[in-house]
Amino acid sequence: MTYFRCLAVIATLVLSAYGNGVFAAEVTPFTGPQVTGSGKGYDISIEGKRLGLADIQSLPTYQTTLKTAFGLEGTFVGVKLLDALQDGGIKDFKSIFVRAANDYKITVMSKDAGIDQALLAYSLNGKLLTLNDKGPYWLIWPQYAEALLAGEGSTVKWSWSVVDIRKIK
Amino acid sequence: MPNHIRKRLFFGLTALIYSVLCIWLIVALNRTLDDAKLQMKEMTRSFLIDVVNTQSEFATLKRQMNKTLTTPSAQNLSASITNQQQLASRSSLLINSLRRLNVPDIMQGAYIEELTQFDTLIRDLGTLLNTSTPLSQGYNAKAQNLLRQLEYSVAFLFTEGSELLNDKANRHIKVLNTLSTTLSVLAATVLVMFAGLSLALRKVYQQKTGLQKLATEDALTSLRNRRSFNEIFTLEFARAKRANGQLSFLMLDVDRFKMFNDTYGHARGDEALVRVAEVLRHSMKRQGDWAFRLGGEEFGCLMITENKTGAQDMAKRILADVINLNIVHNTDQEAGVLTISIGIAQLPNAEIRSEVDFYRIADEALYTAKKSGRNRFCIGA
Repeated sequence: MTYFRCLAVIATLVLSAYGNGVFAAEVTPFTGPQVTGSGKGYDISIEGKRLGLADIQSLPTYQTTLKTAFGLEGTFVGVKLLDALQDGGIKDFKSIFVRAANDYKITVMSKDAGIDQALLAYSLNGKLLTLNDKGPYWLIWPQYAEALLAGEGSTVKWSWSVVDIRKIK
Repeated sequence: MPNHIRKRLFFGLTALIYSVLCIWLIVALNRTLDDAKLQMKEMTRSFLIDVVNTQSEFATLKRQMNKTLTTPSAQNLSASITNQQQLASRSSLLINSLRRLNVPDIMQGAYIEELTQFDTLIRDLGTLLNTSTPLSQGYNAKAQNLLRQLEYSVAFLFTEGSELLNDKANRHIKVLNTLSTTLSVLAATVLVMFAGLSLALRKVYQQKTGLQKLATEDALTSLRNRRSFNEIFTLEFARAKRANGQLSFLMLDVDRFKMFNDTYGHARGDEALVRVAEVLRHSMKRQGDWAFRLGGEEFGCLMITENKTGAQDMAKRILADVINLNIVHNTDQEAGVLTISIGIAQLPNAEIRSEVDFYRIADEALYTAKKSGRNRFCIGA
């Protein structure tokens, strides 16, 4: 009997070694009061259309609580990337071009896993993100937050200080 | 070295050697896997450096092209052409770099496609720079369009390259980690199984030893029993006969033991037998000395002596030691304490041809000792 118990323990160890145990951070609608600022420096260009903070905040807003691989953690509030794109006139796309204020450039594909949960976050823990704090808009991927902390996945698409988004295809 | 200690040492040493081997294997394996992970990360980093350099060279080209479009001098145009040529070599470099990483084709399909697109765009820009002049019609629009598409392409190469390699590296590292864990668990399992097997074997050995002891030992006195006597007596007799060596067999019997039992009870009788056995055990301490309980109140001793008087000296000592036990035996009118009688048979003796003779002579000598008044020894002829 003891022998079988030992085998069961070993089997559990092996199985747990194979499991990745990664869970995504939850994204839920945000119903709290919106943070407001002077509005200066919070413009973003989507397919050439300039949107201010109020424009962005007029879209459905969401929140997610997570720890990023860059050290910042807490509750982020923002709009879904897909909603912002639609508001900027990008309805269908295969890939988009995202440029940050520091000229960091990436592409995002429509088939990217987790894109429906990707947020353009503008506030963290009730405060607007400043340019020094990854603001004005930080493209975050809640689905991969915990995987990144576990050392898996890539941070390349976590683009902060986003100022310009254009459709490629 | 006794057999049981030798076996225990064997199990202990084997377990120790196996444990050291397992630990060495796990350490060596983890070191190799760590090296593989580092190598993977290093190769990934090297590829990404190539991509980042491409980005940087494109940024230089873009700045230079903007200068050329604003100030279309021959010098600016020449610098743009130099930057374009530098960037043109990038696509083949990135393809080679990617191939070295051995990323599966299915994963790199879209990436290679984009690299080809990048190659086409940069060559188109080269054609534009070499065949048209900056002020010609549509030059600016064409150049701006190509630059924009190149910017997208470079961004794609950077983003998807990072993702692709990260994915590749993660898959590798995950496989290596799983392999490492599995092998460690397997090694530990084998180690545990080995330890279990060792314990089980030890138990079997102990049980076997216990059974052997039960089969050869007298339950009351812990001396060797009749069965053991039969085996050893035959062996020792044969050995002494073959070598014409000295061997003495002492047959001992407690005097008036039936009377002792009837007077003091069986419990005291058993106790007396145990104490007599203790005397024999202490007397038969040398290598080649044997003490047996042959049955009831009868004992036997086998001993190798240097001469014939050795057995007589031993018999005298045993007789004295038994008297010194001072076990009260009032029904024995001569001694008042428990005594024994001893019959001795000795080799070499031409009259003794078999172990049966050897036994019989000791038995007859014992009978003579009993007849002669007990508490004494007699030597059989």
